[in-house]
Amino acid sequence: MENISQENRGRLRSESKEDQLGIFYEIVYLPDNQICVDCGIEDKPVQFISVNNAVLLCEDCAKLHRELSSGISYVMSIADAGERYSPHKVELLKFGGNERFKNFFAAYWHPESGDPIFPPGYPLRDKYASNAGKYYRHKIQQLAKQETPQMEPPEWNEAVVVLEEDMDDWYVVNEDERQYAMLLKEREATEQLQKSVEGGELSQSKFGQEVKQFFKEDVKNFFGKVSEFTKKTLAKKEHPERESMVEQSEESKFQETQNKKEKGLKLFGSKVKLGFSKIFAKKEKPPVQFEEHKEQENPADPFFAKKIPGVDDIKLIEDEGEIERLQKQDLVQSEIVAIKELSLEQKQLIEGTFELQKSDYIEPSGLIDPTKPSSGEPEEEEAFDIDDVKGGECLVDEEDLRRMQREEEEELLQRILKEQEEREAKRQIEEQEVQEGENAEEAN
Amino acid sequence: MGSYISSIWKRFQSVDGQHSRILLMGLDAAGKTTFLYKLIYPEEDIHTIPTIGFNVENITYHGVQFTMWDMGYNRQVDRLRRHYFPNTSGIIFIVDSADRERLETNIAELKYLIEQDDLREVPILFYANKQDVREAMVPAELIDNMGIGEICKGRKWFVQGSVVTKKEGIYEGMDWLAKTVQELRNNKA
Repeated sequence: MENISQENRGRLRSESKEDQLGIFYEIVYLPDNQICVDCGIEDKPVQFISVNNAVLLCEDCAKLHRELSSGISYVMSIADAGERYSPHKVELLKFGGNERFKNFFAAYWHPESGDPIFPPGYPLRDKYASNAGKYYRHKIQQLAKQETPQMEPPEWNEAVVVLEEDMDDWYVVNEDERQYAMLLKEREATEQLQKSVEGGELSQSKFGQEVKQFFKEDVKNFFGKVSEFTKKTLAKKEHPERESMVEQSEESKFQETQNKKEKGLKLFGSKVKLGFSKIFAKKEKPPVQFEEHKEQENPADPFFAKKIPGVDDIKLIEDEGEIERLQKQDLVQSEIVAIKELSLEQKQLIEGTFELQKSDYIEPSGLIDPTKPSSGEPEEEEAFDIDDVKGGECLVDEEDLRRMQREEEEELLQRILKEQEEREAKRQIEEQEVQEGENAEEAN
Repeated sequence: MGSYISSIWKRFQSVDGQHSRILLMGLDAAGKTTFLYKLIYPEEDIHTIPTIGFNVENITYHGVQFTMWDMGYNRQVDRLRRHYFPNTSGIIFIVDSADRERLETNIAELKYLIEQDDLREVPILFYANKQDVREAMVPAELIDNMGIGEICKGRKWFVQGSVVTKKEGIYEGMDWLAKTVQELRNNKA
C-alpha cells in the first residue's frame, strides 16, 4: 500500500481491503443481483458469478456457462471470488450487474417488424458469443480500467453474428471428408424438417416460410464466412507445428502401443472400478421460466424508461479542469462516474453513507420500539434484556432467573404434551376413517 | 529358473500391487473434473460446477491401478493439499490452452509443484486441453511459452493435445502414463 502511484491512489484511496470486500458483497446482495440473469427464477439461490460479464447466476445456469470457453464467460463461485479478491472485480461489478446486462440486450429491436432480436428463449451460447456480448464485455472492462473503449456498439443487423470460437471439424483433415460431413449435416436438417411436416407440427405454408428464412442473404453471408474460416484452419493443419503429440523420447515404441489401443479400450470398459463415486448422471434441464417481456411504445429508446442507465450512457470525464475541480473535493475519478450513473443505493454503498432502513431490520420480539407511541397501559411482564446488564453486574435477582427458568421449562413441557395429544387425536381420526372405509367396502 | 520365477512374480506384483497415486492439478476451469469422470463414464455428457475440496476415484487402466485425486484449485485447500503429496507416482497437469492471459499463473503453479520435496522425480503428463477453441495454443507452442523443457529438467514429461469433452487425445496420454509408471516401479523393485 506504500508504493501506490499517483494515478492509482484515487482508486484505492483510504478504503482498506476489508471495506472494498464489503462493497463487493453488498453489490452482490442487491435485490437486482439476487435473481439469476438467464432463467430469472426467483426462488433459486444465486451462488455463482461470471466475472468477465459481471453477471450473477444460479447453479444450473452456471453449469451451462462452464461449457463456454473462459474467454466468453469465466465462472466462479461467489465465496471463491471473495477469497481471490481483486479491486478490478469490484470495478467490474460497479459498471455491470444483472439489470444493466438485461437492459443492454433488450435494447436491440428489429426496426421494421418491431420484434426483439434477443427474445426470451434465445440460445444462451449464441447470446454470449454474439458481437453484442463481445462489445458489452469490452466496454465494461475498459470502463473498469478507466480507459476509453476502442470498439463501437454493433448495430441491430451486426449484433447476432456469432463468433466462430469453436471449430467442430478439429479432427477432420481431408477436404473430401469435410464436404461429406457438410452433406450429412444438410441431410439431417432436411430430414428433421420433413419429419416435422409429416408429424403435423408444421403446416405446408410454414414449411415454405422456414425454408425461405433459411436462405436469406444474411445467412448465406454467414455460411460464406464459415467456409473461409475452415479453409484457414485447414491451412493451419498442414503446418508442421500442428502435431498433436510431442514426445521427449522413444517415439517409435509408443506407436506400437497405439495399435493395441482398441483392445485396451474394450478391456478398460470392463475393468472400470468405482471408489467413492459421485454419479454425474445426465440431468434433465430445469424448466426455464422467462419473465414476460413488456412491450414498450417507443422501441427506439426502450431502456431510458428504466432506472439504471445502460453501458453506453456511462462516459469517462476527459476534461482535465473538471477532474481537478472534483479532486479538490476529495472525490475519485472512478467513483465520480459511478456516483453519477449508479442508483441511489449503489451511490450510498460507494460513499460509505449507506444505512439500513428501519424496514430492513427484523424486529426482535422482546425489544420495544422507542419511536412507536407507547400504549398507556404499563406492561405486566418484562422480558430479560441484555441491556439490563451494566458494568458486569446483573440487575435481575437470581431468584427471578430461577423462576423464569422454571416457567420456561413448564411451558416447554406443556407444549410437548399438547403436541402429543394432537398427534394421538390425529391418529385416532385416521384409524376411524380407515375402519369406516373398510366397513363401507364390506357392505358393498 | 529362480530368476525367471521372480520376474514373473514381479510382473504379478506390478499388476495386482497397491494402487499408484495420481494427482490431477491445474487452474480452475481447466477440465480436471470433466477429464476424471469422462474416463469413468465415457458415454455421458458431464456438467460440473467448480470443485470444492477434491474428488477421488479408483481406475484400472491397461492393468495398472490408479487412484486419481482431483484437487480443486482453491486457496483454502492450498495448505491442506501438500499432505497428499507423499507417495505419488504421477502428476496430470491440465492446462486451458485457450486462456493465454493466465499463462503466468500456470507457470507459477507448475513451479510450486516442482519445488516440493515429495514430488521429486515424479513424471508429469500435460494435457493441452480445449484444442477445439480457435485461439488455442498448439502443444509445441505451449511448451515454448511455458518453458516446460527447462522447468521439468531431470524428470519424464509428455505433452498431449486434447479435447476432453469429445474424448480426443485422453487415451493417448493415459497410455504414456501407464507405461512410465509401470517402468519406474519395475526399476525400483
